[in-house]
Amino acid sequence: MWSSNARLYESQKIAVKYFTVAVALFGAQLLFGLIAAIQYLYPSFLFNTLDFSIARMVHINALVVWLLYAMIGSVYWLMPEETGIDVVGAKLANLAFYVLTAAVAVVVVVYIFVQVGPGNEMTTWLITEGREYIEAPRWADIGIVVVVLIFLGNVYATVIKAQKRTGIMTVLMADLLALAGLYLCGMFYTSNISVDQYWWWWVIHLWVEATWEVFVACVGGYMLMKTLGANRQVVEMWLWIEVAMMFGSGILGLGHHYFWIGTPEYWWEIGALFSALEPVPLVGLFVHVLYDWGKERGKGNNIKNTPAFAWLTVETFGNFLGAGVWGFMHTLPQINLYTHGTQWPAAHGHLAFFGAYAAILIGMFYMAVQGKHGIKEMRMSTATKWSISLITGGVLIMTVSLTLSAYVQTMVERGQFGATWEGYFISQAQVWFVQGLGWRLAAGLAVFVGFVLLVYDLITIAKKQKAVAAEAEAEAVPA
Amino acid sequence: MEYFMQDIPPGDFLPIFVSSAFVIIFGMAYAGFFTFVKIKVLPKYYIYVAYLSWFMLAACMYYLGTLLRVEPYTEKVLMGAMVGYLIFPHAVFFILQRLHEEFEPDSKN
Repeated sequence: MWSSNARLYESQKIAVKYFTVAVALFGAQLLFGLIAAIQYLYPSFLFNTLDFSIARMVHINALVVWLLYAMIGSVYWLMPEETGIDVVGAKLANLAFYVLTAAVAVVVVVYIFVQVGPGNEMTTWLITEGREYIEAPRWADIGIVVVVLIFLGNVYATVIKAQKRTGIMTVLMADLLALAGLYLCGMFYTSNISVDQYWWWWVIHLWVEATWEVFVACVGGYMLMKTLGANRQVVEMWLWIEVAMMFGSGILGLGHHYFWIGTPEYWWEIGALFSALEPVPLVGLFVHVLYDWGKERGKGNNIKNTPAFAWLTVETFGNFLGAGVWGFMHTLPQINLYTHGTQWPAAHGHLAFFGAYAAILIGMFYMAVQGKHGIKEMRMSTATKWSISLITGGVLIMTVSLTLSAYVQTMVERGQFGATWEGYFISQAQVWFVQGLGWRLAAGLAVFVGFVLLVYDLITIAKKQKAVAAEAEAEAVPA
Repeated sequence: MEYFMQDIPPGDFLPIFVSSAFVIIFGMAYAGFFTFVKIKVLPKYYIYVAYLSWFMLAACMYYLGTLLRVEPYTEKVLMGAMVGYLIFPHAVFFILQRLHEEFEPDSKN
C-alpha cells in the first residue's frame, strides 16, 4: 500500500502503520454495520451464525478502535514536525503497535467465533465485559492501558526532550492525558448496574464530548497550517478558546443525560444549558476557517493538499450538523426522556461520529500519503471526488432515514404507548419505520462503495500525481 | 419552589425537533453571514441578514423553551445565553483581527 520514496521520521513510519490498520478496521466497521442493517430488516440473516448483537458490537467497537488507531497515528505523524525531533522510543512504539494489533485481532476473532459465555468472571476476562463501545475483555483492557502508557510516555518524553514546544503539542499533551485517564473509569466493575453505568459514562461521553473534540481541534489546526498556510499564532490562539469552551460545555453539558442515573434535578438544567453551548466552539472553528480562507484567497496561496482540505471541510460541516443540529434536536432532558433508546441517538451518532471524527482522520490519511511520497501539492483525483461524495452523501441519507424511523418510533412507542413493550413492537412494525431502515441500508451500501474507492485512491493517488507531474515536466522541456 | 419535569404532548414533538434544529441553523447563519460580511465576501448590508438570523435564533430558543416547559429561571438563563451568543462572533473576530495585526503588521484585512 505504501511504497517508500520520501524521507520520513521513524515516528511518521509508525504513524503510517497505525493509519494502515485504521483503514482496515474502518472497512470492518462498515462491513459489520451492513450486516447489522440487513439483520434489522431480515432478522433470519446469519441467525445463529453471526447474531445481530455481535454484528452491532463489532460495528461500534471497530469504530472506536479505528478512530483511536488513527488518532495515535496522527500524533506520531505531526509530533516530529511540531517538536523538530524524532520520537524518543521508536522501538518501544513499534513493539506496542504490534502488541495492540495482535490483541485487537484476537479480540475480534473471539467476538466472531466465541460470541458469548456463561456470564461469569471468565466471560468478563476472556470474551467481553459487555460495556457498549468498550467491550474488550479484561485481559485486553489491561493490555490497552499498557500500550497507551507507552504511547503517552513517548509523547511526553519526546516533547520534553525537544527544544521547541508548540501550542498544538502542549494542548495535545494535556488532552491525551485526560483521554487515556478516562479509559480507567471504564475498568471498574460493580454488580450494581447504575453504579457500573455511571463509571462507563465517563469514558465514552467525556471522550466524545470533550477530549476527542479537543483532539480534532489540534489536528484540524495542524491541517489548516499545512494545507492553507494558516498563521500558527491564530490557530493556536483559537485552540485555547476551543479548549476552554469544549471542556466547559462538554463536561457540564453531560448533565443533560443525568436524569437516567438519578442525580439531583439541577443537573438537568445545567446540562441543558451547557449542552446548548456545545455547538458554539464548532461555530467558532467555522468562523476561523472562513476568516483564514478569506484572508489568503487571491494571493496565490494554493491549497497544498486538496483531498485533505476537502475532508477537513466535510469535518467542519459534518461536526456542525451531526453533533450540533442532530445533537441539539434530541438531547435536552425534557425531550431525551422520549427519544433515549430510540433510533434518534443512532441518527445523531452516525453523523456526529462521521462528521466530527472520521472525516478529519481520513484527511490525515491523505496528509500521510502526501508526506510519504514527498508530494508538494496534492490534487484530488476522480476517485477522491467519488469517495467523498459517496461516503458523505451516504452518511447524510443514512442519518435522515434513521431520523424518520426515529420520529415514528418516538411518537408511537413513547408518546402514544408510554415506553411499553407493546409500544416498542407496534412502533417497529410501522411502515415508515421499516422504510427508513430500508433507506438506511441502501445508504450504507453507498458508503461501502465509497470506502472501496477511498482505499483505491489512497493506494493510487500518489502514483497518478507523479505520472501527471512527469508528463507536465516532459511537455515543458523544449524539443 | 421545587420544579418537576413536565410531560410533553405527542403533538409538540414535531415543533420541538424543528425549532431545536432551527436554533442551531439560525445560530450558524448568524455566525456565517457575520463572517462573510467581515471578510468582505458579501456586501455590508448583509449584516442585517446576520442580525435577523440572530433574532430568529433567539425566538426559536424562546419557543423551544416554552414547548419543553422549562422552569422560569432556566428560561431567563437561556435568553441570557442568546445575548452572549450575539456578542460572541464580535469578540472572536476582534481577537483574531488584533492577532493578525500583531503578527502580520501589513495585514489590514
